[in-house]
Amino acid sequence: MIKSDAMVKRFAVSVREQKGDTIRKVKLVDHYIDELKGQLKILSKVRRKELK
Amino acid sequence: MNPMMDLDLQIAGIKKTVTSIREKRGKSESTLKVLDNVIKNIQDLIVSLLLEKHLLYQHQVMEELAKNKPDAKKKEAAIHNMYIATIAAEKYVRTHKLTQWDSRINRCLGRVADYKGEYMKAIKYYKLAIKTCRKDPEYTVDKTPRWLEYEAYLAYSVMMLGEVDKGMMLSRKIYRKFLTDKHALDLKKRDYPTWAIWITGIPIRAARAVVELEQKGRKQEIVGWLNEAYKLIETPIGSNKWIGKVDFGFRKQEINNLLAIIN
Repeated sequence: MIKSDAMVKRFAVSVREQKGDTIRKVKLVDHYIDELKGQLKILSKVRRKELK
Repeated sequence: MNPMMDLDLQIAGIKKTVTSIREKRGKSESTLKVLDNVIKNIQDLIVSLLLEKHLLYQHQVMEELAKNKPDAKKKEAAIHNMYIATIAAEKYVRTHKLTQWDSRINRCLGRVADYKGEYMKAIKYYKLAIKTCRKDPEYTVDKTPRWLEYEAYLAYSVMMLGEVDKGMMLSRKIYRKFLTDKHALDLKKRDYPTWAIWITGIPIRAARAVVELEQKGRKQEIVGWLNEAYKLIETPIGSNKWIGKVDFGFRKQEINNLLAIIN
C-alpha cells in the first residue's frame, strides 16, 4: 500500500526546500508523525478487538 | 505531484483503509493480515519521518560549519537536537521491535558522535551500521548500498582519531569503490544525486580533516581531489526522485569554502 521510501524521500526534499527555519520544518514533520500515530492508535484498537 | 500533497494523499489513503478495516471487523484471518501489513507500513513511515528530523538538524549543523565564522552555540544546539531526534527514533524502533531500522539508527548515532568529536564511538556505530545495513528498508526495497556511505564516514572518523595515513588510504579506497563497484555504479545509474552527494562527501570530509589536523603537507593532494570531485556535481541534473533539477548548491559551496581556506 505504501511506497514509503521513495515517497518519504520526495517529501523530505520538499520539506528541506521549504522557506523558513529548521523549527518550522521540524514542526511540519511532527504534524505528519502525529497524524500517522493517530491512525496507528485506531488500528491497534481494531486489532485488539479482532483478536478477542 | 507536490510531495506534501503526495503524503497528504497517502495519509488519506491510510484513513480510508482504516475505515474499511473497521467495517470489515470480525472477518477473520485475512483482515488480521491486512491490518498487520498496514500497521507495519505506518510504523516504517513514522521511523522515516523521525529520522528526517535528525537530518533537518544535521543540515543546520552543516550550514553553520559552512560559514566563515560558525556560531558555536547554534552549532552545539543543533548537534544536541540531532541527538534528541535520533534517540526518539531509536526508542520507537526498540519499542516496536523494528530491527530493520537498526542500521540507520547506528548511522545517525555515528554522525552525532562525529560532530561531538567522539570518533571512537562514531567508528563503533558505523561498524554496527555496516553490519546490518542489508536489512535496511532502503536496501530491501530500493537496493540502495548504504554501506558505501557508512564506509566513507568511517574513513573520516579514523582520520580524525589521528590515524591520518590510514584514514586517507581508506578514503581513497572508498572513493575508488564509488567509481568501480557494481552496487555503486547501479546507484549512479538509478539515482545520480544520491551517488554524487555521497562520493563528493569523501574528499570534503578528508579536506576538513586535513584543515583541522593542520596537515599542510597534503595541501596539493587535497586541492586536486576537491577539484576532481567538483566536476561530478558541476552540471545540475534532473531527477524525479529529488523533484526537478538538483544543482548540488550546498556541496559546491562546501568545496569552494574549503578551497578558499586551504589556498
